[in-house]
Amino acid sequence: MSDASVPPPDFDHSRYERPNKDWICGNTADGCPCRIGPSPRGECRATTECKPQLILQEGEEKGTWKCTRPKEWGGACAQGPQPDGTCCNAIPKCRPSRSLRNRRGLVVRAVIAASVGGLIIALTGAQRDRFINPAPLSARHTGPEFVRMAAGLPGPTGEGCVACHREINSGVSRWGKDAIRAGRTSLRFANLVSTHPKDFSQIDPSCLSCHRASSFHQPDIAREISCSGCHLEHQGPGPMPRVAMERCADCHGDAEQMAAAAARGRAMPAARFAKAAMPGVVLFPRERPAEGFTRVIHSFATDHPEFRVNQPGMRDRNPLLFNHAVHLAGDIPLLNGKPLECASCHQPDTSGAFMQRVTFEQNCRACHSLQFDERNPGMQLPHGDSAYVRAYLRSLPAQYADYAAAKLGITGRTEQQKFVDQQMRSLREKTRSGELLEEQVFFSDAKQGPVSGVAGLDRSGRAKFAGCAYCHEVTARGSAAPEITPPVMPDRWLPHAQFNHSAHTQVHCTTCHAAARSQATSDIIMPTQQSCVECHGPKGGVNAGCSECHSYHNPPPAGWRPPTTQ
Amino acid sequence: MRHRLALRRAVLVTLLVAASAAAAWKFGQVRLLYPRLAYLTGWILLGLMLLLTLYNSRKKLPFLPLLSSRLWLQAHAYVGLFTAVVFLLHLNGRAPSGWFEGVLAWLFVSVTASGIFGWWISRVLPKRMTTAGGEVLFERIPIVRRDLRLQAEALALKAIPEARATTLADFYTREVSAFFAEPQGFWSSLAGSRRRLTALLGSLAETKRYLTAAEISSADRLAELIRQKDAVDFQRSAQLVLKGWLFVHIPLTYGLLIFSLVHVMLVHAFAGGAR
Repeated sequence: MSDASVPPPDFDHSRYERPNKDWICGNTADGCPCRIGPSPRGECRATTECKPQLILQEGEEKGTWKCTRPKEWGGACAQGPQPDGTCCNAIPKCRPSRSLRNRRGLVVRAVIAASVGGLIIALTGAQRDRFINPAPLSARHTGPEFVRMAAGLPGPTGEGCVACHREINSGVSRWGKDAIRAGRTSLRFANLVSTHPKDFSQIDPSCLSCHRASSFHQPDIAREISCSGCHLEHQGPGPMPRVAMERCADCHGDAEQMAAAAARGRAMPAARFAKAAMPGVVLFPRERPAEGFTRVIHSFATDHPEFRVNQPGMRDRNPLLFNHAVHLAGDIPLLNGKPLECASCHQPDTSGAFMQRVTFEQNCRACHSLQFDERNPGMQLPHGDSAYVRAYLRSLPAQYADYAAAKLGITGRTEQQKFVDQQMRSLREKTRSGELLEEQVFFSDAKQGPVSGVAGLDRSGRAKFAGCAYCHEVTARGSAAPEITPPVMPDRWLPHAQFNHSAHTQVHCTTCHAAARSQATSDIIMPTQQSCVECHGPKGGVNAGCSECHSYHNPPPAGWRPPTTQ
Repeated sequence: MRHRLALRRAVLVTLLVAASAAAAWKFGQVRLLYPRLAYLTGWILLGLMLLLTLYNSRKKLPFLPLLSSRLWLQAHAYVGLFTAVVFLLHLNGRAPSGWFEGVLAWLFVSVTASGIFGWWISRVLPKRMTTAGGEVLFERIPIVRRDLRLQAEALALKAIPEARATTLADFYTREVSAFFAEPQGFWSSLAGSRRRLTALLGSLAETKRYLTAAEISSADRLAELIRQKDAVDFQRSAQLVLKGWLFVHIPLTYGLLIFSLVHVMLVHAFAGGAR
């Protein structure tokens, strides 16, 4: 580039350029375009430099031809017109070229043609499904079983899209009609700015064809929602994304919907809401609230109610007498060389999600033996049935004889009888009669009753048998064996929620369960909602979505039918 | 005038930032609240794109009293930038991974990027063109170039009888004629390279030692013509760029609109809770 302020070159300002013309003279590139320029269709219109004019003087017949070349073009030429009146300066013909604007228009038309053509090919060709697929499907909908299912459907299966999008094989015109219909119904403008736009869409029947059992939520639901309202596909490989908390809050945060659900629930028989538990799983007994679960909730951290198990008046109805505080106190003797801790009794199940049920054999006997005779550690009462216990006590001579033979190696009849006599005599000295022994065994609780305990502590401090009533609720039944109320330990304390202990191993048990302060079995020591919010809330930063604990899908009651598509 | 333009630009920039911030803030608020927000942002995006294409129609209807073209251009640029913000909101943090959506996104990015490039060069190049001088209409450049060539040839020829020597004419034939014959390197001209000009003027200065007084006057005039030709070459390159970016921006805009309309059809026909 030259120095600054180079003056513009001279130019014939009588010329007027029209950049919007489609064609320019072919001689433009050489700097000498003709004045007239090409026709609008791009044809060269060059003829001669002028059209000579015939000048006729008075009395002349032939006249004289005069050059009419304009002044800007150099004025009349020296040679003048030909005798026949034609101009002597013919303008050479050229091949007009397209203007920049016209070339740009060509590119525009080419791009439009390429776009339309490419789309027609792509939308009607064999690779159509792959072309319009917005993103890979989740692993659940790409497996061989899924493809096999899709292959069983009529029409080309392509990538298996037809398994969900039944209309995909109907062609572009049908898609257009479907799009217009969707724009007028489920996707009308009002629905785009609504928190409750989840009318059933045409894809729902496809979902329900496989997931029929997952279509039920609650009998009193105010408004059925589309599967795709919560579950998003085409979000990439791997599992489908978790359902966002806001999707639940769409309904549960809406007072109007909750009121409608409560009203519907009130009109329904309670049996409709019965929730079947897994066989063999004991649920914490609770009643359905009068209004159902219709309290308005926006998020777990803000207005989720306290867990019902922790609400005032709730008590653990397990008749077993147990004191967590005593067992976690430091003065408890070591078990296998280790101090007693939560995990000494509470062990996770194979899934790691829940704890195994605590049993006497697995978790209590190691410390709480059923040795009723201080001198014979091997003489253990049976556990589990009061009738067996009574039968055992009423056959003590035979039990001692078996014990002598099996445990002490006394095989001689005379020695055995001698051993039995000695033990029975010793027992009688302590308890005076068999009836009293039975009473002590069943009803002694180490605090009150006939005696403070049957056996007491051994030298190592290990608890010996204190009496059934030490742990159990024992009721006399006249001449029959006393009734021992069976303990009922719930396996699920929060039956409406899921929990996974293995996901919480970084937290100590007592952080959530206030076991160290619990002295009575009736104490509920489940974590409070606020203790969960400590982590599962804005402060803790751990996911606090509803689906962390709750599942939308419930097993439907008998006779229930899925809703139909709108 | 300049002050007014600066003020208007400041107002538009403020409006753009405020609108983008407000849109992003509102989007963050309702992102999870409205399950079908993607459709709403999509319609807004399509509306903005159609509004932007109106600028092209406005250019074709200059006789209509619809505000000044300058104002339309400014609005086109700022609305275009806002459209890019809406596009990001529409994506909602998810990069398109399918073929169709990939092409659609690529078209949008290309149109936006070419628009930003065009806007940038529209601000940078005209200033450089004014500074460089030699301003001339693009369509007139071949004619001006020919005129300069004829003037230079005439100078070289005129020097022969005046000096009775062919030194300047020989120099012209050997060194300068090719320079005047056609436009010089596009990119070097655009970059403002002085290499060729300096070399030519240097050679001419060296040749001057062998010229007579009459020839020196012609040589000075020839140097002036060389500078003008160089300036015209720069004007040509700059104006080609100023016109050339539209060869990307406008055609791809039509492609984008076609793909967008098909996208609208597909997302409605296969609607299933898209978010």
